[in-house]
Amino acid sequence: MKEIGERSLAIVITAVFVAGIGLTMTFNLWTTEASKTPAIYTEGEFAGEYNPADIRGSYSLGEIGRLFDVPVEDLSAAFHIDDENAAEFQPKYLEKIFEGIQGYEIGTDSVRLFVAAHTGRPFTPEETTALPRTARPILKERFEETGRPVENLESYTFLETTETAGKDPEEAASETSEKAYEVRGKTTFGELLTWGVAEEDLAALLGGKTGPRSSSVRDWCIEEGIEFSMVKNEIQRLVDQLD
Amino acid sequence: MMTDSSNSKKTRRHSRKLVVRRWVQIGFFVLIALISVNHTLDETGQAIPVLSSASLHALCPFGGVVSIYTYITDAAFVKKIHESAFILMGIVFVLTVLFGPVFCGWVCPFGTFQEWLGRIGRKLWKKRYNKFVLPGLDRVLRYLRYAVLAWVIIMTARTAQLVFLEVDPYFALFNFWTGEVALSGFIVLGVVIVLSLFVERPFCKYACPYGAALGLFNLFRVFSIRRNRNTCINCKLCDRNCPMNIPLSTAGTVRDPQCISCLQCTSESACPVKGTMELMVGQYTVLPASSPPDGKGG
Repeated sequence: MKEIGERSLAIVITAVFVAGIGLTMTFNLWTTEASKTPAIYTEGEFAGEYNPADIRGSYSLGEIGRLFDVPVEDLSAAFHIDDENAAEFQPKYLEKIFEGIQGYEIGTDSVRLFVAAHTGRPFTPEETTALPRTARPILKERFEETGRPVENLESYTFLETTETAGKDPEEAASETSEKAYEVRGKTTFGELLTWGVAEEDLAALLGGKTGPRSSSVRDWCIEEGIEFSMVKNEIQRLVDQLD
Repeated sequence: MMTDSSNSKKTRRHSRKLVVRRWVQIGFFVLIALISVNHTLDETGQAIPVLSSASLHALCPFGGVVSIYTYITDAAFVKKIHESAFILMGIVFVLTVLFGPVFCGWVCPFGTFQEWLGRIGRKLWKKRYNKFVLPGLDRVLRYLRYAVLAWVIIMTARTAQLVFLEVDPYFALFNFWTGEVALSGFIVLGVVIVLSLFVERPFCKYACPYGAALGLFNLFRVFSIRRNRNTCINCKLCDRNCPMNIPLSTAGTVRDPQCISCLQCTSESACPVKGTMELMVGQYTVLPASSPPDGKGG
């Protein structure tokens, strides 16, 4: 027989943790956050370049600026991020800052839209996505620099955020709760199936197949070259029919 | 066969209060607390250098467990789960195969938190502490954590979301300042805090899905808690001291899925005869029938 005492067990437990983590760190297997490399366009004029549609809420403005060659000053000025640590700011907090704007949303998708507009890359935002009014002069200047028609800016929704933000939070919350089954960019295939949407109906909309349960519909559409905004309403219709 | 004097001599070398385990628990608790705070600081660009700023999800081995199905079917992690959770899951499984659920008894900061609350409860209720739940009810309630485990695994597989997050008191404890904790999480945390004043480790006993999974390893672990029938004086101190209320005094080898390998039963406070309850591999030597252990047969 071989017994093991308290002290020995403590050493073994600690050693196994330290060795296990240390070893996987050595082989670059220890990852505690999602890879911050956006998807690239697979075809067309921008093939091989990063697609703004894959900007995540956890990216910092500094990372977005570096990945897409957009000055952080432009990003921070456009979204009212006056903090001296603006480069560390993550778009996922924008929704909180600009919450309560009826009918529209300024959040991560707005940053995608801003970056796409700034760099001239194709991107279709969600229908409710808006930009703060402060983003307009920056984009206008950028459009002029790159010789793009300024009139194209009219297709974007700019909001006077200083006046419209700050609506009664309870009212905003009740509006949100009414849309518990709303198809959004982060909605996953797993959620849709759990809500009761038939997989074959989804597949019929998405070219004969669906993505993995863990994948968000938008991310999968980007990878498959499908415009999410083109199918979003159809998927929402499937969800609405469940009632 | 041991004489009284040899028993007493060995008893002096016997660990009385498991001080080392306490320090290991404090170490892991402080580490996780600091990393959680640093995660918040990191979001404002004020992270403490050197110290990890990983999210709690990245450091929870249970995240790896609930992601197995999604990883096999989709070759992807459940949202918020990363490679680190899988690696920790592997480390914990290795330790558990060897020594049983030492993660629960030595590492899990939420188990430690409940133990600390239990010390208050012990002061309040003295010997009545940890004896409030009727045995019949207790036996039924202990199956609850398997139901929780099944629910978490099935729902996580179906939705590819961390469904347990909404009610996870561990996440609530280490993120209460972040605004990311659901009301349901706070409610469960509050209930666990109150119950911990009456029952030792109530969440571990009745609701922890990870404890349920790890506890099954007690059925075939390499090093087991064993009672030496030759030297046991049948005082039942081990029964009274086991935080998980396992009837140790009638066991030869402890196979109860609730055992957390805390080694409390091997300490002097729970077993006055050294060498009678031990974490070991192999068997105790059986004494010949002609050599009764001083009438202390167990």
